[in-house]
Amino acid sequence: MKQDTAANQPKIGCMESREPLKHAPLAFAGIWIIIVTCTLTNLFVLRNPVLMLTVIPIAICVTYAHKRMAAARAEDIVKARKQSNG
Amino acid sequence: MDKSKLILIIPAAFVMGFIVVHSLRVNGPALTRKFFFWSFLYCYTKEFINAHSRQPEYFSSGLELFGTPMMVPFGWVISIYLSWFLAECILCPRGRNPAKVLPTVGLSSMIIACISFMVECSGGNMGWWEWNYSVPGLWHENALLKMPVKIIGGWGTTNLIFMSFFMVYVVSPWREVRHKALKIIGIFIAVGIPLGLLASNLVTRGLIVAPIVTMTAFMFLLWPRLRDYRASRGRRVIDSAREMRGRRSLD
Repeated sequence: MKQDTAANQPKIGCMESREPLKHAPLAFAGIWIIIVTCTLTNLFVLRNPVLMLTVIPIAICVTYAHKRMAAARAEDIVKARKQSNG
Repeated sequence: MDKSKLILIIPAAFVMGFIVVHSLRVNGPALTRKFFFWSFLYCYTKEFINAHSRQPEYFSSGLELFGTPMMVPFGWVISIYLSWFLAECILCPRGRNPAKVLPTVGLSSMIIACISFMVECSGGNMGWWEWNYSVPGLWHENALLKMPVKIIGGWGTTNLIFMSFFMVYVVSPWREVRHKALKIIGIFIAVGIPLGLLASNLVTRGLIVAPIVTMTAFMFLLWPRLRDYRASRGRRVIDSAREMRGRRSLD
Protein backbone atom coordinates (compact mmCIF):
# COMPACT_ATOMS: atom_id res chain seq x y z
CA MET A 1 0.00 0.00 0.00
CA LYS A 2 1.19 3.47 -0.91
CA GLN A 3 2.48 5.30 2.15
CA ASP A 4 1.42 8.93 2.61
CA THR A 5 4.38 11.28 2.76
CA ALA A 6 4.38 14.10 5.29
CA ALA A 7 3.72 16.62 2.51
CA ASN A 8 0.62 14.79 1.29
CA GLN A 9 -0.95 14.24 4.66
CA PRO A 10 -3.78 16.69 5.18
CA LYS A 11 -3.38 18.58 8.46
CA ILE A 12 -7.07 18.97 9.04
CA GLY A 13 -6.57 20.68 12.40
CA CYS A 14 -6.00 24.15 10.90
CA MET A 15 -9.12 23.83 8.75
CA GLU A 16 -11.40 23.03 11.63
CA SER A 17 -13.46 25.73 13.25
CA ARG A 18 -14.82 25.09 16.74
CA GLU A 19 -18.58 25.31 17.14
CA PRO A 20 -19.14 28.05 14.53
CA LEU A 21 -22.92 27.91 15.01
CA LYS A 22 -22.66 28.54 18.74
CA HIS A 23 -20.36 31.58 18.49
CA ALA A 24 -21.83 33.14 15.32
CA PRO A 25 -23.95 35.74 17.22
CA LEU A 26 -20.74 37.51 18.31
CA ALA A 27 -19.66 38.23 14.74
CA PHE A 28 -23.22 38.95 13.66
CA ALA A 29 -23.42 41.54 16.43
CA GLY A 30 -20.28 43.13 14.94
CA ILE A 31 -21.67 43.48 11.43
CA TRP A 32 -25.06 44.70 12.71
CA ILE A 33 -23.32 47.40 14.80
CA ILE A 34 -21.67 48.71 11.60
CA ILE A 35 -24.95 48.60 9.63
CA VAL A 36 -26.93 50.34 12.41
CA THR A 37 -24.21 52.99 12.88
CA CYS A 38 -24.19 53.81 9.16
CA THR A 39 -28.00 53.85 9.04
CA LEU A 40 -28.33 56.18 12.02
CA THR A 41 -25.56 58.44 10.68
CA ASN A 42 -27.30 58.70 7.31
CA LEU A 43 -30.69 59.36 8.88
CA PHE A 44 -29.96 61.63 11.84
CA VAL A 45 -26.57 63.27 11.19
CA LEU A 46 -26.43 63.58 7.41
CA ARG A 47 -30.25 63.61 7.04
CA ASN A 48 -29.95 62.13 3.57
CA PRO A 49 -32.41 59.25 3.04
CA VAL A 50 -30.90 58.47 -0.38
CA LEU A 51 -27.80 57.19 1.43
CA MET A 52 -30.02 54.54 3.03
CA LEU A 53 -29.90 52.71 -0.30
CA THR A 54 -26.23 51.93 0.31
CA VAL A 55 -27.14 49.76 3.30
CA ILE A 56 -29.39 47.45 1.26
CA PRO A 57 -26.76 45.15 -0.42
CA ILE A 58 -24.93 44.29 2.82
CA ALA A 59 -28.20 43.96 4.75
CA ILE A 60 -29.35 41.37 2.19
CA CYS A 61 -26.05 39.46 2.54
CA VAL A 62 -26.23 39.45 6.35
CA THR A 63 -29.90 38.42 6.38
CA TYR A 64 -29.16 35.55 4.01
CA ALA A 65 -26.19 34.45 6.13
CA HIS A 66 -28.46 34.55 9.21
CA LYS A 67 -30.96 32.37 7.40
CA ARG A 68 -28.31 29.80 6.44
CA MET A 69 -27.00 29.63 10.01
CA ALA A 70 -30.51 29.30 11.43
CA ALA A 71 -31.33 26.49 8.97
CA ALA A 72 -28.13 24.63 9.89
CA ARG A 73 -28.87 25.04 13.60
CA ALA A 74 -32.45 23.78 13.14
CA GLU A 75 -31.16 20.72 11.24
CA ASP A 76 -28.70 19.98 14.04
CA ILE A 77 -31.46 20.21 16.65
CA VAL A 78 -33.69 17.82 14.66
CA LYS A 79 -30.78 15.38 14.27
CA ALA A 80 -29.97 15.54 17.99
CA ARG A 81 -33.61 14.87 18.88
CA LYS A 82 -33.77 11.91 16.49
CA GLN A 83 -30.59 10.47 18.00
CA SER A 84 -31.87 10.92 21.54
CA ASN A 85 -35.13 9.19 20.59
CA GLY A 86 -33.08 6.31 19.24
CA MET B 1 -9.54 65.51 16.45
CA ASP B 2 -12.92 65.98 14.82
CA LYS B 3 -15.46 64.90 17.47
CA SER B 4 -17.82 63.47 14.83
CA LYS B 5 -15.21 60.75 14.29
CA LEU B 6 -16.28 59.26 17.64
CA ILE B 7 -19.40 58.02 15.80
CA LEU B 8 -16.98 55.85 13.84
CA ILE B 9 -14.35 55.05 16.47
CA ILE B 10 -16.58 53.90 19.38
CA PRO B 11 -18.66 51.33 17.42
CA ALA B 12 -15.51 50.18 15.58
CA ALA B 13 -13.80 49.50 18.93
CA PHE B 14 -16.76 47.38 20.06
CA VAL B 15 -16.80 45.50 16.75
CA MET B 16 -13.05 44.86 17.03
CA GLY B 17 -13.60 43.40 20.50
CA PHE B 18 -16.42 41.16 19.27
CA ILE B 19 -14.51 39.80 16.32
CA VAL B 20 -11.36 39.11 18.34
CA VAL B 21 -13.39 37.11 20.90
CA HIS B 22 -15.26 35.35 18.07
CA SER B 23 -12.02 34.44 16.32
CA LEU B 24 -10.41 33.17 19.54
CA ARG B 25 -13.38 30.91 20.25
CA VAL B 26 -13.92 29.65 16.70
CA ASN B 27 -10.45 29.64 15.14
CA GLY B 28 -8.29 29.23 18.23
CA PRO B 29 -5.40 31.46 19.42
CA ALA B 30 -2.87 30.44 16.74
CA LEU B 31 -5.02 31.22 13.70
CA THR B 32 -6.37 34.38 15.38
CA ARG B 33 -2.84 35.64 15.98
CA LYS B 34 -1.85 34.87 12.40
CA PHE B 35 -4.96 36.49 10.90
CA PHE B 36 -4.75 39.74 12.85
CA PHE B 37 -0.97 40.05 12.47
CA TRP B 38 -0.83 39.41 8.71
CA SER B 39 -3.99 41.33 7.83
CA PHE B 40 -2.88 44.37 9.86
CA LEU B 41 0.61 44.26 8.34
CA TYR B 42 -0.81 43.96 4.81
CA CYS B 43 -3.34 46.77 5.28
CA TYR B 44 -0.89 49.06 7.09
CA THR B 45 1.71 48.58 4.32
CA LYS B 46 -0.91 49.34 1.67
CA GLU B 47 -1.98 52.51 3.45
CA PHE B 48 1.63 53.53 4.20
CA ILE B 49 2.44 53.31 0.48
CA ASN B 50 -0.67 55.35 -0.34
CA ALA B 51 0.05 58.01 2.30
CA HIS B 52 3.63 58.49 1.10
CA SER B 53 2.93 58.38 -2.63
CA ARG B 54 3.23 61.50 -4.79
CA GLN B 55 -0.56 61.62 -5.22
CA PRO B 56 -2.35 60.02 -2.22
CA GLU B 57 -5.83 58.77 -3.13
CA TYR B 58 -7.41 60.30 -0.02
CA PHE B 59 -6.66 62.62 2.89
CA SER B 60 -7.58 61.73 6.46
CA SER B 61 -6.71 62.96 9.94
CA GLY B 62 -6.61 61.44 13.43
CA LEU B 63 -4.13 59.16 15.18
CA GLU B 64 -1.21 58.54 12.84
CA LEU B 65 1.80 56.21 12.86
CA PHE B 66 4.62 57.25 10.48
CA GLY B 67 2.19 59.47 8.60
CA THR B 68 -0.43 56.75 8.13
CA PRO B 69 -3.88 57.20 9.71
CA MET B 70 -4.32 54.20 12.04
CA MET B 71 -8.09 54.04 11.76
CA VAL B 72 -7.84 52.89 8.13
CA PRO B 73 -5.90 49.62 8.64
CA PHE B 74 -8.11 48.78 11.65
CA GLY B 75 -11.18 49.35 9.48
CA TRP B 76 -9.69 47.09 6.82
CA VAL B 77 -9.00 44.29 9.32
CA ILE B 78 -12.58 44.47 10.65
CA SER B 79 -14.06 44.43 7.13
CA ILE B 80 -11.88 41.55 5.93
CA TYR B 81 -12.74 39.43 8.97
CA LEU B 82 -16.48 40.11 8.74
CA SER B 83 -16.61 39.39 5.00
CA TRP B 84 -14.71 36.12 5.59
CA PHE B 85 -17.16 35.21 8.36
CA LEU B 86 -20.24 36.00 6.23
CA ALA B 87 -18.86 34.07 3.24
CA GLU B 88 -18.31 31.01 5.46
CA CYS B 89 -21.80 31.41 6.95
CA ILE B 90 -23.30 31.25 3.47
CA LEU B 91 -21.07 28.56 1.94
CA CYS B 92 -20.32 26.30 4.91
CA PRO B 93 -22.36 27.23 8.02
CA ARG B 94 -21.33 24.12 9.99
CA GLY B 95 -17.63 24.85 9.82
CA ARG B 96 -14.82 25.28 7.35
CA ASN B 97 -15.10 23.00 4.35
CA PRO B 98 -11.85 22.02 2.60
CA ALA B 99 -13.61 21.99 -0.78
CA LYS B 100 -14.81 25.57 -0.40
CA VAL B 101 -11.61 27.46 0.35
CA LEU B 102 -11.41 29.30 -2.97
CA PRO B 103 -15.17 29.99 -3.35
CA THR B 104 -14.99 31.51 0.15
CA VAL B 105 -12.26 33.88 -1.07
CA GLY B 106 -14.40 34.92 -4.07
CA LEU B 107 -17.59 35.42 -2.10
CA SER B 108 -15.84 37.34 0.68
CA SER B 109 -14.55 39.77 -1.97
CA MET B 110 -18.10 40.32 -3.20
CA ILE B 111 -19.31 40.88 0.38
CA ILE B 112 -16.53 43.36 1.20
CA ALA B 113 -17.59 45.31 -1.90
CA CYS B 114 -21.08 45.61 -0.33
CA ILE B 115 -19.54 46.75 2.99
CA SER B 116 -17.42 49.33 1.14
CA PHE B 117 -20.47 50.77 -0.62
CA MET B 118 -22.11 51.44 2.76
CA VAL B 119 -19.06 52.63 4.72
CA GLU B 120 -17.51 54.78 1.99
CA CYS B 121 -20.74 56.64 1.27
CA SER B 122 -21.39 57.43 4.94
CA GLY B 123 -17.74 58.28 5.74
CA GLY B 124 -17.23 60.38 2.62
CA ASN B 125 -20.37 62.41 3.26
CA MET B 126 -19.43 62.91 6.92
CA GLY B 127 -16.05 64.26 5.81
CA TRP B 128 -14.07 61.66 7.80
CA TRP B 129 -11.84 61.35 4.74
CA GLU B 130 -11.62 63.28 1.50
CA TRP B 131 -10.87 61.82 -1.90
CA ASN B 132 -8.14 63.36 -3.98
CA TYR B 133 -9.93 63.83 -7.28
CA SER B 134 -6.75 64.87 -9.07
CA VAL B 135 -5.69 61.18 -9.09
CA PRO B 136 -6.54 59.62 -12.50
CA GLY B 137 -9.69 57.47 -12.26
CA LEU B 138 -11.06 59.23 -9.17
CA TRP B 139 -12.37 62.37 -10.88
CA HIS B 140 -15.41 64.06 -9.40
CA GLU B 141 -17.87 63.34 -12.21
CA ASN B 142 -17.11 59.68 -11.61
CA ALA B 143 -18.30 59.84 -7.99
CA LEU B 144 -21.57 58.44 -6.71
CA LEU B 145 -22.82 59.85 -3.40
CA LYS B 146 -19.33 61.35 -2.88
CA MET B 147 -17.63 57.98 -3.39
CA PRO B 148 -15.50 57.25 -6.49
CA VAL B 149 -17.00 54.12 -8.11
CA LYS B 150 -13.51 52.66 -8.61
CA ILE B 151 -13.23 52.23 -4.83
CA ILE B 152 -15.70 49.33 -4.73
CA GLY B 153 -13.47 47.32 -7.07
CA GLY B 154 -10.46 48.42 -5.02
CA TRP B 155 -11.88 46.95 -1.80
CA GLY B 156 -12.74 43.71 -3.58
CA THR B 157 -9.27 43.47 -5.11
CA THR B 158 -7.48 44.15 -1.82
CA ASN B 159 -9.52 41.48 -0.06
CA LEU B 160 -9.11 38.98 -2.90
CA ILE B 161 -5.32 39.27 -2.90
CA PHE B 162 -4.98 39.02 0.91
CA MET B 163 -7.53 36.25 1.39
CA SER B 164 -6.17 34.15 -1.52
CA PHE B 165 -2.74 34.07 0.11
CA PHE B 166 -4.06 33.76 3.67
CA MET B 167 -6.55 30.97 3.00
CA VAL B 168 -4.16 29.02 0.83
CA TYR B 169 -0.89 29.50 2.76
CA VAL B 170 -2.15 29.74 6.34
CA VAL B 171 -5.58 28.10 6.61
CA SER B 172 -5.56 25.46 3.88
CA PRO B 173 -3.38 22.42 4.52
CA TRP B 174 -2.51 21.35 0.96
CA ARG B 175 0.56 22.38 -0.91
CA GLU B 176 -0.93 21.49 -4.31
CA VAL B 177 -3.60 24.13 -3.91
CA ARG B 178 -0.95 26.82 -3.58
CA HIS B 179 0.02 26.48 -7.25
CA LYS B 180 -3.64 26.79 -8.23
CA ALA B 181 -4.04 29.89 -6.08
CA LEU B 182 -0.92 31.45 -7.56
CA LYS B 183 -2.34 30.81 -11.04
CA ILE B 184 -5.63 32.43 -10.06
CA ILE B 185 -3.91 35.48 -8.54
CA GLY B 186 -1.74 35.68 -11.68
CA ILE B 187 -4.81 35.66 -13.94
CA PHE B 188 -6.42 38.29 -11.74
CA ILE B 189 -3.39 40.57 -11.89
CA ALA B 190 -3.06 40.05 -15.65
CA VAL B 191 -6.76 40.32 -16.57
CA GLY B 192 -8.93 41.43 -13.65
CA ILE B 193 -7.03 44.55 -12.57
CA PRO B 194 -6.57 46.01 -16.11
CA LEU B 195 -10.26 45.29 -16.83
CA GLY B 196 -11.29 46.96 -13.56
CA LEU B 197 -9.09 50.02 -14.26
CA LEU B 198 -10.47 50.25 -17.80
CA ALA B 199 -14.05 49.97 -16.55
CA SER B 200 -13.57 52.58 -13.82
CA ASN B 201 -11.93 54.98 -16.29
CA LEU B 202 -14.65 54.51 -18.89
CA VAL B 203 -17.70 54.75 -16.67
CA THR B 204 -19.62 57.95 -16.35
CA ARG B 205 -21.43 59.15 -13.25
CA GLY B 206 -24.01 56.75 -11.89
CA LEU B 207 -22.72 53.64 -13.67
CA ILE B 208 -22.00 51.94 -10.37
CA VAL B 209 -22.54 48.53 -11.95
CA ALA B 210 -19.31 48.66 -13.98
CA PRO B 211 -16.90 47.50 -11.23
CA ILE B 212 -19.46 44.91 -10.08
CA VAL B 213 -19.78 43.61 -13.66
CA THR B 214 -15.98 43.40 -13.84
CA MET B 215 -15.84 41.42 -10.60
CA THR B 216 -18.62 39.11 -11.83
CA ALA B 217 -16.82 38.58 -15.15
CA PHE B 218 -13.72 37.69 -13.18
CA MET B 219 -15.70 35.19 -11.10
CA PHE B 220 -16.96 33.56 -14.32
CA LEU B 221 -13.38 33.35 -15.50
CA LEU B 222 -12.52 31.63 -12.24
CA TRP B 223 -15.52 29.35 -12.07
CA PRO B 224 -14.30 26.43 -14.24
CA ARG B 225 -11.14 26.28 -12.11
CA LEU B 226 -13.11 26.35 -8.87
CA ARG B 227 -15.51 23.69 -10.16
CA ASP B 228 -12.67 21.39 -11.25
CA TYR B 229 -10.95 21.97 -7.93
CA ARG B 230 -14.08 21.17 -5.96
CA ALA B 231 -14.86 18.08 -8.01
CA SER B 232 -11.41 16.51 -7.93
CA ARG B 233 -9.02 17.86 -5.35
CA GLY B 234 -11.50 18.80 -2.63
CA ARG B 235 -13.34 15.48 -2.56
CA ARG B 236 -10.14 13.46 -2.65
CA VAL B 237 -8.64 15.40 0.22
CA ILE B 238 -11.82 15.10 2.30
CA ASP B 239 -11.86 11.35 1.66
CA SER B 240 -8.21 10.97 2.62
CA ALA B 241 -8.79 13.04 5.76
CA ARG B 242 -11.71 10.83 6.74
CA GLU B 243 -9.62 7.74 6.01
CA MET B 244 -6.85 9.06 8.27
CA ARG B 245 -9.31 9.74 11.07
CA GLY B 246 -10.68 6.21 10.66
CA ARG B 247 -7.18 4.77 10.85
CA ARG B 248 -6.43 6.79 13.99
CA SER B 249 -9.62 5.61 15.67
CA LEU B 250 -8.77 1.98 14.78
CA ASP B 251 -5.29 2.43 16.26
